[in-house]
Amino acid sequence: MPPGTLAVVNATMAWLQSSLHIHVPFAWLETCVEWVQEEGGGGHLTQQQINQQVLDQWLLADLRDLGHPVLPGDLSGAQKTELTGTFCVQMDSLLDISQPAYGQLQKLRGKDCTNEEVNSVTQATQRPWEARPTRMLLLQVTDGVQNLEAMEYQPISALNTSLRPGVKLQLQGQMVCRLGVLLLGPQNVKVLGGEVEDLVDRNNQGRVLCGALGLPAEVQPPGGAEE
Amino acid sequence: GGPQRPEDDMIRRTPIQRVLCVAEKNDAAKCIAEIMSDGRARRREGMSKFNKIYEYDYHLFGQNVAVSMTSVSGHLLGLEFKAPFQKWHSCNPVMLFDAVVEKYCPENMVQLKKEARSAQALVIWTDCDREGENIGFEVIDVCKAVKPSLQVFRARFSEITPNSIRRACEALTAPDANVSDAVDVRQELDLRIGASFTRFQTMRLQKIFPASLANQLISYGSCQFPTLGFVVERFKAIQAFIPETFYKIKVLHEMEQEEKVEFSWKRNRLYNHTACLVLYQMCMEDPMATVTSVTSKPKSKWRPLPLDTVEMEKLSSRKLKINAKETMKIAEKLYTQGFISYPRTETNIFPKDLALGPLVEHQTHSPSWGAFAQRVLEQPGGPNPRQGKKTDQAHPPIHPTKYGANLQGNEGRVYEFIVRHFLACVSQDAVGQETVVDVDIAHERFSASGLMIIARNYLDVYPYDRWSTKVIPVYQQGSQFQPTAIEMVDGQTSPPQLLTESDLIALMEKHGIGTDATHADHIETIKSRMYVGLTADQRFLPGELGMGLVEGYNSMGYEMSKPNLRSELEADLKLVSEGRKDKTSVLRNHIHKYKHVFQESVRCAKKLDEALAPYLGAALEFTEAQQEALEV
Ligand SMILES: [Mg+2]
Repeated sequence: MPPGTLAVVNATMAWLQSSLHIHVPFAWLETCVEWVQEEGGGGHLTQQQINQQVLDQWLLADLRDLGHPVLPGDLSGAQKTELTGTFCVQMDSLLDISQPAYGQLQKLRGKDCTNEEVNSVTQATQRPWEARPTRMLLLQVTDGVQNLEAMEYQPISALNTSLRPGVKLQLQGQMVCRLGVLLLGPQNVKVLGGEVEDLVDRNNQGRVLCGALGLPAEVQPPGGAEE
Repeated sequence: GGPQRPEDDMIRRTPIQRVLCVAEKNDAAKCIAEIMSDGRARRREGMSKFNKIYEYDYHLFGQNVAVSMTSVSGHLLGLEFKAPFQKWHSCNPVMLFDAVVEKYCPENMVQLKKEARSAQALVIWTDCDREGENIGFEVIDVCKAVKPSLQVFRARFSEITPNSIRRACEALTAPDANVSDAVDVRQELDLRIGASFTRFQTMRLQKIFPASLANQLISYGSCQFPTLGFVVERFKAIQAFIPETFYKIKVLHEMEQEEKVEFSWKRNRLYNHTACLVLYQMCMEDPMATVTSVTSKPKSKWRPLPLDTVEMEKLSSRKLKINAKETMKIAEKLYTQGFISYPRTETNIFPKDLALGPLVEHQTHSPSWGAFAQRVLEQPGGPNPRQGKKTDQAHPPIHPTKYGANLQGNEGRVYEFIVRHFLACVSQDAVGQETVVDVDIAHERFSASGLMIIARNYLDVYPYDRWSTKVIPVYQQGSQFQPTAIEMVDGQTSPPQLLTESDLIALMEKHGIGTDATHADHIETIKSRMYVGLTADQRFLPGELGMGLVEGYNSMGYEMSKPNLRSELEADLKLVSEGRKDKTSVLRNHIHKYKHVFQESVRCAKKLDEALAPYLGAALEFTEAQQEALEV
């Protein structure tokens, strides 16, 4: 390693930790910085440019490849525990569990049939009181080592089903974890962005919904057309 | 009026002594004659033993005239291909899109012609709808052929009551050629499309599946197929459905001496066991319920809208279990006997100039609903109809026109329904007070509601609707209680149900398949062709042939069993009837569209065989040369 590189790596490490609470293994960061510099034609990049490009690489990385745990150990084993702090994790997939997956899949495939809603009762009367279900997303998250589920305990407007699989989230504040499920509210989640190329296809909404229904994964048309 | 044209003067000067009146059915002729003649009409034999002639004097065109009132039995003329194309194997069915068609008269109408010769004026009294207008023109054509000088008028009426008939006589108009044209277009398209597809698929499939279909006519109609399509679509939706387990939290609270109150979860259901269990455990650890709000607000149950045809068919099917076809038959009979207004209407707004008071007044004689009718008359402001949004500008909503005391059986039931619906519509909404109690347990929210009925109003005359009181004890906002039980329960989603007749009519209306006048007939057709059957609880189940045909046409990519093609046609027919589109171009355009689809269907005919094979057994294989022969 050229003498200057160590200083640059340390500076990037400090920047990632202080500004975004992102923790990465030294070896990965070192390789990443070297690659960024090579790509940049050697020596002409400012520290700030390097920081940004490393961050972009981290957002696109599969945290499993980094293997650097940040969550407290064995959360899924605990009946009930509380954690406080800021943790940057990767969301592998998500699913709305307030609605049947079948209906969601039909809608996604454009096969939802409005004819099913037509019925003979057209003389509407005042609607009776009824519960209007609020969305509840269930997220599969990982810090690269520990996998757990997180549920949208209170509505979180930053989340939606079109987030890319592998997107990085910053979890912060006080959070309860029960039966291996993290309970999240709007104050706990910040979307950092990114994706994981391998997961984008494997965990797209269609496949996640098929999985929930126990259906074989959909065959993707050649060329990988998107849902 | 405006400036008089010379022809008008001529008409005024031509002396009219004898007037021929023609109604659509004998029943109508008889009732109209009875009203016009004050019961003094003389009856003699007419064109058939079902169509009598009623004779009487009447004051018309400002003078006393001799009237002969007679009737036809629906359409006089049939539409058929010219002779060389009539036989099934006479031509390649594709030619039927361009072959010459002609109207022919199955009977020679000797009596009608004779009556026409001796009259100076003809008044058309057929039903005031599209078919009626077209039948009117058929009568005009037959009569004018033997007496070109005949003056022609149209009586317009919505009910066979003295007032309505008198008004029609005072305001005779000209028949409406646009409306009749729309029927001509529809008839010609139905003939060409029906004959071409029916011949094609029957001849082909009989040869391919001789064991199952050798002697079967496999009819096609541009309305019946989309109707069948809805039945198949629902059946397939049920087959494809995947049930899912859901979980929810239920809170029970039993106070001393009070009924058990069940609070339901604001989250309703979760489709994940662990997620629900997490929230359930939180509730169980801290189960004290806090009442966060108690709201009480008035709630109405709306009285029904004025009755139109589709709504009558649907309600009769659901509430009286009388199918649409039968309901329409009964309603037409009630109409021709003067008990109800014209039953084919799209209108659900009572016109301002229709006096409702006298109509309600008639019903005060009934021992069953007379007292309610009296209440309506005495309510502040008198009869007060709830109004809908649709009007066909031709007929008012279906309503009783006189009190019928001695109607029996289904006739009595349909009449009673129409009366009760009418009285309900002009009375008042039911009024209640709804109380909603919201509670919080470990930050999960639950709700229970109660209903107190304050005034039943229309419900007193309308047993077809139910609204029940639900008692809920008094809760104080901010108070706390320990629930009797908090349970996590599960359940399964269920598929939609097979269509009822009433659902099917709703779908046909939504997609513009047929008109209010024809829905019931199309449904009857797919039943009689055995394309669909009925389950024990009167829901539609597609038969094997019906399934296979729909799948076959769907697999060709042309949506023959989908409603789009037909609903475009139906919309164009409406424009023709309003004089906003030209008959010839509409005809040309739709012949062209369907011919194209036909040619494609023939090209992909193998797909039909493939779709049917799973239901009817293996398809016979033909060589390429034989294939070509199949297509002729
Ligand atoms: Mg008619």
